[in-house]
Amino acid sequence: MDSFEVAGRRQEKVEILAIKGYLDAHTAPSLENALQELVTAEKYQIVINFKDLAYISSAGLGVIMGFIENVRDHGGDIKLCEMNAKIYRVFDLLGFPKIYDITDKEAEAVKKFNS
Amino acid sequence: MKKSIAISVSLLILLILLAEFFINENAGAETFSPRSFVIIFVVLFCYFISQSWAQSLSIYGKIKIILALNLLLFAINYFSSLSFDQFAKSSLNIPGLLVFLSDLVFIGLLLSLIHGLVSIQRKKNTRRNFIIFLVFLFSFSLFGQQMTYAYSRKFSPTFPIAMSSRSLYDIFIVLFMIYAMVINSFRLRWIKFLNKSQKIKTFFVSAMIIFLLVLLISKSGHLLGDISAVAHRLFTASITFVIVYFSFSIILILLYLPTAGALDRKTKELASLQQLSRSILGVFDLNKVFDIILQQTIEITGSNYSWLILKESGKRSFRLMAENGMPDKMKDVFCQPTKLNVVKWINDHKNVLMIDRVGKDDRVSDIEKWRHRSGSLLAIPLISNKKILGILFAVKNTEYGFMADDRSLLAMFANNAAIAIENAQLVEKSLTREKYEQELKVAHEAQMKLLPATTPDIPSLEISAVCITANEVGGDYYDFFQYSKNSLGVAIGDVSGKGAEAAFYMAEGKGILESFGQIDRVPAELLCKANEVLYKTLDAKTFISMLFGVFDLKKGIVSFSRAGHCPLLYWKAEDEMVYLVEPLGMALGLISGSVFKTTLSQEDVKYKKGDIFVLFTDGVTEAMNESQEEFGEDRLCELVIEHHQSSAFEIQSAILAEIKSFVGDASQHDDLSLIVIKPK
Repeated sequence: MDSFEVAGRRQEKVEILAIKGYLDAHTAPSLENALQELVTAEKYQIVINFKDLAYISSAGLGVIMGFIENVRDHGGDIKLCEMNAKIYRVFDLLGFPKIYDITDKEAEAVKKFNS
Repeated sequence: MKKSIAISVSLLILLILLAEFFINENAGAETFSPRSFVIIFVVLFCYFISQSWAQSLSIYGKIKIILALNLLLFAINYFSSLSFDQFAKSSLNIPGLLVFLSDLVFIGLLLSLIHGLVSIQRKKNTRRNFIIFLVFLFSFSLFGQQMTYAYSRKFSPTFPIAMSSRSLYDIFIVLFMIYAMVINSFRLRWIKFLNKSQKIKTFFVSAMIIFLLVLLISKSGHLLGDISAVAHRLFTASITFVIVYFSFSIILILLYLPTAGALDRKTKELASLQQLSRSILGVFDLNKVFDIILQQTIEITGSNYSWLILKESGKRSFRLMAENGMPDKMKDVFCQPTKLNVVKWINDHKNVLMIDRVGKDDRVSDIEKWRHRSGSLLAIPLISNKKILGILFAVKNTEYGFMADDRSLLAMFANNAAIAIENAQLVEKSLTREKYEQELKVAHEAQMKLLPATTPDIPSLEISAVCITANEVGGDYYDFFQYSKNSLGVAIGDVSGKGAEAAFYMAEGKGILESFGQIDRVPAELLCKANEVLYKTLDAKTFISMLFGVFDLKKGIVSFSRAGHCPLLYWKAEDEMVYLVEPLGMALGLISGSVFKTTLSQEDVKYKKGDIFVLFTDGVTEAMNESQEEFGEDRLCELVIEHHQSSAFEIQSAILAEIKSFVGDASQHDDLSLIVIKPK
C-alpha cells in the first residue's frame, strides 16, 4: 500500500500540516484525524503544505471539504500551499481555487493569517 | 437387588437382636455372643449404606451433619441416662433398646462421614489405613474386655497387678487401634478447601463436637454397658476417634487461620484467571472483554476502581477505552492520557508500576487530582509480542493498598488480558473487513445497475462506452439520455469517496439528471439545477464531478458543460488537431447558488463527420504504472490522433490496451470510464 504521512508543526498561531505521499481513500483517515485533532483543540488557523504530496484522490479532497465549513464558522481557514502542477491540476479541474486559498509558498499562506 | 437383599438381611438380624434381648437375661456380661456380631453388623451396615451419601456432601456439609449427629446423640444419651435409668435394669426395655439402636446407627453414620472427610484427596494408603482402623476398632470391641475394665475403673490401684497375658494382648490391640486412629487423624486435607469463614466456623464446630463427646463418654457408661459390653467399647472407641480427629483438625485450623485470608485470595485469583481464560475463548465483543478485565482487576486486588487505556491502532497515542467505578475527574484526566508521566513511564520501561502513596510520588505529580491525596496505584502494561497494547490501572483510596503479590498476580492476569484484547480486536477487524467486503460487493452491483446496459442506437453517431471498476467502487458513472429522435444527452461523472455511499449518491445524481432532463436540456442550466439539489443532500465531504453534453443530431451541434470534471477531448477532423475542451465550472455539491452558476460556462461545438469526442474520468489520466507515473492527457491525445481513422469501438479498445500495457503489473486504484463518440 502506498504510504502517506502527516507532520504537524506550529508557526506563531498557525498550525501547519505537511503532507507527504499518496492521499487516497485508504490514507485519507490519517489526514482526517490530524485535522480533527486541531479542530478539537480549537485551532482554526490551518495551513496544509502539499510540497511532498504525490497524489490526491477525490476522497482526499473530501477530507479537506469536510472540515472547511466548521473551521470557517469559527473564524479560521484552511489554506493550501506548495502544490505541484499535477496536484494543482486536480484542484483546478474541480474548481477548488474558487473556494480555497491556494498559495505557492507556505510563508505566504501563514502571512495571510497574520494580516 | 443388592439393596433389597441387604435390607432383608438387616431386618432379619434386627429381629434376632430383638429376640436376644428377650431371651438373654444376663445382658451386660457377654463377650462372644451372637449379639456382639449383630451389634457390629448394624454399625457396619449403617457405615456402608451411608457411604455414597456421605461422599456426595460438600466438605462443610459433612461437618455440619457431624455436628447435628453429635447433638442428637448427645441429647438422646444424656436425657435417656437421666430419665430411662430405672428402665435400664428391667428386662423389657423398649426406650432403652431404641436409644441403644440409635447409638449404633449414629456410630455407623459418624464413621462413614469421617471416612468421607479422610478420603478427600485420597492417597494410595488412605482407604487401607481407614480399613485397618476399622479392623482394630472392631477387634477391640470384641476382645478388649480387660482394657475396658481397667479403663472404666479409671486406673484402679490393682490395674498393673491384674495384667495377665490376656491383658497384654488387649494392650497390643489398643495400641494398634490408637496408632490407626492417629494415622487417620492426620488425613485433614479437606481443611485447605474451606474458605476463611468456613475455617473459623469449623473451628468452633469442632470444639463443640469435642466438648459434647467428652461429656457423652462420661455419661454413656450405664446404658450401653448394661446392655452390651461390646457396644460400649465400640461406642467409646469410636467417640474417642472422633474426638482425636477433631482435636487434630482444630490444631490444623489454628495453624492455617493466619494465612487463610491470603489463601482465600489466591484461590479467588486463580478462579478469576480461569474465568478470564474462559472469556478469552468465548467473548469476542471488545467492550465485554474490557468489562470482564476491569471487573476482575477490582476483584483480584480489592481496588476501588480500575480503568484501561489502549494504544490507538497505527499511532503512538493512547485512549481511555473502559472504566469501572472511575470518578469523573479522573476520566477527564485520562481522556487524553498519552502525555501523562505515568503513561510515558510505563511506555518506556514496559514494566509494572506500583505507587504506594500517590500524593507523594513524582511520577504522578502531574495529575492535579492526586496531589496531596492519599491512595495507591497499580499500573500494568498489556504487552503482546513485545509491543505495548495498552495499560491497565487499579486504584485504592488508601495508601500502601497494594501488596507485592497483587503486583505479580495482576501482571500475570494482564498477560491473559492482553491476549483476550488482541483476540477480540482481530475478530472485530476481520468482521469489519467482511462487512466492508460485503458492502463493496453490494455497492459494486448497485453501480453496475446504474450504468446503461447498452449504448443508444443512433444512426448518425458511433458510440462506445465502458466502465472498468477498480477493486473498490470508485464512484464512476456515465449515462445516455435519449430525449427525442434528434436529441441525445451524454453524462460522465465521478462521485468522490467510495463504497456504498458513492453508489448511493450516484443513484441520486442519476435520478436528478433523469428528472431535470425532462424539462431542461441546456447543459449549463441542468447542471445548475442539479447542483442546487445535490448541494443540500450531499454530505460535506462529498462532491460529484460531471461532464454533461447534449447532441442536437439534426443541427450537428453538441453543447457541453463541465462541472469540475476532466476536460472533453475533441478531435476536429477538419483541423487534424486534438482539443481539450475545458469550459469553466466547479464540481457539483461544492458550493451553492450564484458562485456555481456564474462560474459554469457552456461550450457549443458544431461537429462534422469524422470528428471524435472522448469523454473520460480521472481513472484514465491518473492510471499509474509501477514507477508511479501517470498515464496523463498527452498520451491520451496522441492515441486519438494516431487512431483517428478507426471506429469508436476501435479507438476505445486502443486506449484501453495502451493503458493496460502502461500500467503493467501495478494495481488499478480507481474506476476508469471511457466514452468515445464519433459522428458518421
